[in-house]
Amino acid sequence: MSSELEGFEMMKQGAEGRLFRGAYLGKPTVVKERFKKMYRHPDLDEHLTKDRIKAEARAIVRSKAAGVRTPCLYHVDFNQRRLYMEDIVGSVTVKKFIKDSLIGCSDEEAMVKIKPVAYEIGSIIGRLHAHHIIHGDLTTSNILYSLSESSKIVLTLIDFGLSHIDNSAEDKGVDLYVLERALLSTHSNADKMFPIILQAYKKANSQESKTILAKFEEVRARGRKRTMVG
Amino acid sequence: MGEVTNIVTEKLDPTSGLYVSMALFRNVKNSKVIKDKVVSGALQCSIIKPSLIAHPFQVVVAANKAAASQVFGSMVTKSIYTELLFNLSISKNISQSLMKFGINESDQDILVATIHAEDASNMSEIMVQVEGQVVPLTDLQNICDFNLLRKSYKISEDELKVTSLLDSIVSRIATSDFVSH
Repeated sequence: MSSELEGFEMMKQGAEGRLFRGAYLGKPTVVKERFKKMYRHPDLDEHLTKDRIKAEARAIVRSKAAGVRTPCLYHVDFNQRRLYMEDIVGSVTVKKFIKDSLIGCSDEEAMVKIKPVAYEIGSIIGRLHAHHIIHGDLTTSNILYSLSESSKIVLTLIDFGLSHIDNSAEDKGVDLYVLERALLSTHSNADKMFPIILQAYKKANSQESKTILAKFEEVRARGRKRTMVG
Repeated sequence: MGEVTNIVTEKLDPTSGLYVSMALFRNVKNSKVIKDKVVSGALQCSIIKPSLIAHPFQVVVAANKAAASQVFGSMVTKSIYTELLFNLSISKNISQSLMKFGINESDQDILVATIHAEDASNMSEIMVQVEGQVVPLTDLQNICDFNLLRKSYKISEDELKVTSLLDSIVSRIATSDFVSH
């Protein structure tokens, strides 16, 4: 049983599902609907999809408790494989924010704008990891930038579709590595952000930062995937 | 939300075709009578303790979850009205949840919620029976007990630095059947 999302507009289509934007319970809402995989046995498909929706919703709620802003969850619908969540109105992705900051600016001017955002990125990832939440897909498109009423920088972390709870230095190191790669592909100067991110990360996750940064260097040297040789 | 004479109505998930309407009463003299009628099924509504409600949207999300469970046959309590009360709680214990979010016989403030088809609310029938004063739902913010809410939903100070109390509560209600807090 699956009904059309009345009054919703499709935003994006990915490999695992589609994103829609519209109004739900009177609020601006984003709906993430996972596909039914026809090549899988229906029972297995239902089971896997349910587990993934649960993991995603759980990570969103746990992140809040860790002091990281995530979208508010309005409804979880396993029957229609949907997650209904807050649409962060007035936000842009950090990717777009960095690109826009560099337009018509010298590198120095741009860095003045970008620096506080970099620091905030490091803090939120540090807090996330201190609570053993691995995001799994830390790109600059999955961090939303907006300003609060008092003009403070607000970052909202989205897309926890690949996230899990784990106390593994390897996975945390990979999270940081994926972010570094994402920054490098956003703009050639964006690599200047990374030292600031790491500085804030160390502060927010002081207990484990040494082990994780060592792991990060290791991942950096070999790439995200471990070699399966030997 | 639509507002007519202090009644707030919101459309629930379109799959259910249902709506929720709410009204807040103060200085209620016959809480015991109302409670007995709701328990016996003579009055079709949920009666909620307003000190545990930060905002009407909190009830909307719990009602929506109840309506969806009814559509898909996954309710865990006997009626959509007990289901609403149970959904407000993040505990899995049904009787404790109903006691916590339901009203006591001596309570003078009560929040009434009804779930109904479009333009078919029975709120006026309920309003006639409650001996009390109907006040705007915005008065909830004066009645709700911030510390009790924080404790009941287990919300830390760190969390409130990045999220509003309402958003934290709502996210927990939406996930309470599979996330332990």
